[in-house]
Amino acid sequence: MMSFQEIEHTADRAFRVTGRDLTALLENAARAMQALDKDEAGTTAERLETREIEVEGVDGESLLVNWLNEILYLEQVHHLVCEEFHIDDLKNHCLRARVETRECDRTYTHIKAVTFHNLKIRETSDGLEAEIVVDV
Amino acid sequence: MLSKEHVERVAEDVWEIPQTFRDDMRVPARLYADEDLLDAALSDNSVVQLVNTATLPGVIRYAIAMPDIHQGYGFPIGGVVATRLPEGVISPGGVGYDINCGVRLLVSLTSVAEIHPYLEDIASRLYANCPSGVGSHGQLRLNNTELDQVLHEGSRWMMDKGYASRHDLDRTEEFGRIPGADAAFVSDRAQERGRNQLGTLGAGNHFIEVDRVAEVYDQAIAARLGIYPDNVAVQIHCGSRGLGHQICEDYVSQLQKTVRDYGIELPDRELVCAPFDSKEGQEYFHAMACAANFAFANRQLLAHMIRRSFEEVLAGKVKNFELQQVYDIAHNMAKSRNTTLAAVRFECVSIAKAQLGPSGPDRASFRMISAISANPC
Repeated sequence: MMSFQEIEHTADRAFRVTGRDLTALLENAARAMQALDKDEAGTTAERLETREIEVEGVDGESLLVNWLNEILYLEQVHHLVCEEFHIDDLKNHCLRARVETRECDRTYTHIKAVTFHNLKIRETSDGLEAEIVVDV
Repeated sequence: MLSKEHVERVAEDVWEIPQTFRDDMRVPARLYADEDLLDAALSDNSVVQLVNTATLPGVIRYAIAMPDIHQGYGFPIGGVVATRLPEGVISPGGVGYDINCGVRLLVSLTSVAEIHPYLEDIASRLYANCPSGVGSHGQLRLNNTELDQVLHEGSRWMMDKGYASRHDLDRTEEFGRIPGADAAFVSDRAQERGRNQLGTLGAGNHFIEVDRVAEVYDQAIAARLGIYPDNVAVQIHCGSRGLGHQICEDYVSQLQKTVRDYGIELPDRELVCAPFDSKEGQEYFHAMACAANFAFANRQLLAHMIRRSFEEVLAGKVKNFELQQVYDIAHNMAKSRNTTLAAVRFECVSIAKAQLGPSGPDRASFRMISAISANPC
């Protein structure tokens, strides 16, 4: 089963993401955001670089938003394509992660920011679920 | 779910959702729309988002939606509220990520027919001179001092550097500079994102558009603004780029920690807010003003580069191609102002994802701008 699905939004873009726990939800949300931009990926260098990042929030939802915005920051300011995401440590709404990146000759993402709009991490029979609206 | 049965018609093209619709509403919500627009707004979450804004602490009279209402995040697009000080709040998510996103209109005295043979060349020069895309960089590279000056001075800095005329500033909301800017409240990351982005268009629904004035409804007023049928017009739609986005992101995230300290309960976390006079509210307002000034400067530099593009292609070939500014107006902004309501004068802060009207000379003339239909060439 897909861990994410794009959902309709009039002016921006939105997706629903699932995960068996918060770590999986966060990793899948990052992959979902990349998938929304997949067709936009431009010419990239072959070199892979692993970036280590740390993000914190006041609760699960703010950690989710801050994590995705941190990825957008890497892409927009450092012109990187973020390809894979490994969360190594997650406790007290703080995470430490490795992100596999490629250098890009330009910023390829069309997503400008991740919002808190109606954001709520819900428990389901399979784990956790959230719907995320991004500004484009 | 909100449907038409919850909406009352209070005047022609004015609709109201009464305060009794939801317990957390502090005022009614009003839409300015014809019946078709109302039906469209009810087809998604736009009106629910409008009702949510009616819950903001200090909100005055009504939460209002303009006829362009459509679904956004937090506020609907086209949403406006004013909150009464001192208890009234300011909301970074309400203003939105692209602070002082706005539209600038330029016109020339030449007709579209005269420039038509050169449109392809004009398009090529516009692409070269006005970079687009989310992380695109412009031709100006600002050092720390210069960026600081832009954040405080807005279009005035552009005039000092030769990129704007006095006429341009006179035809810009707030003359291209809003008061209250203090770069000390703009994060290093926000400054990093904006440093090389002056003179860039961005992405999404932002555009530079070469238009034809298709129809003028009031020739006398239009003539005062230099607008004549079939002539060339140019519209610029963009804002504060990565700098404004980072400022919004910084304060939406920061206020998630403090909103509960003020006892504020919200139906949507994107509406996170703080009392305007609080430390957090003032810090955001100072930073937001910096982004607003950056956006005025950005549209000014884009106007300069568009004029240069026209000159590169048309000089010596077409007469009167020069582009004069009609007006520049923001639609994502919060402003502190004194106002009078029911004969009571008070201070308020208005938060808008819609145009609130010009603040400069010739206001009466500008009212007719929305009545000009401009079609792309």
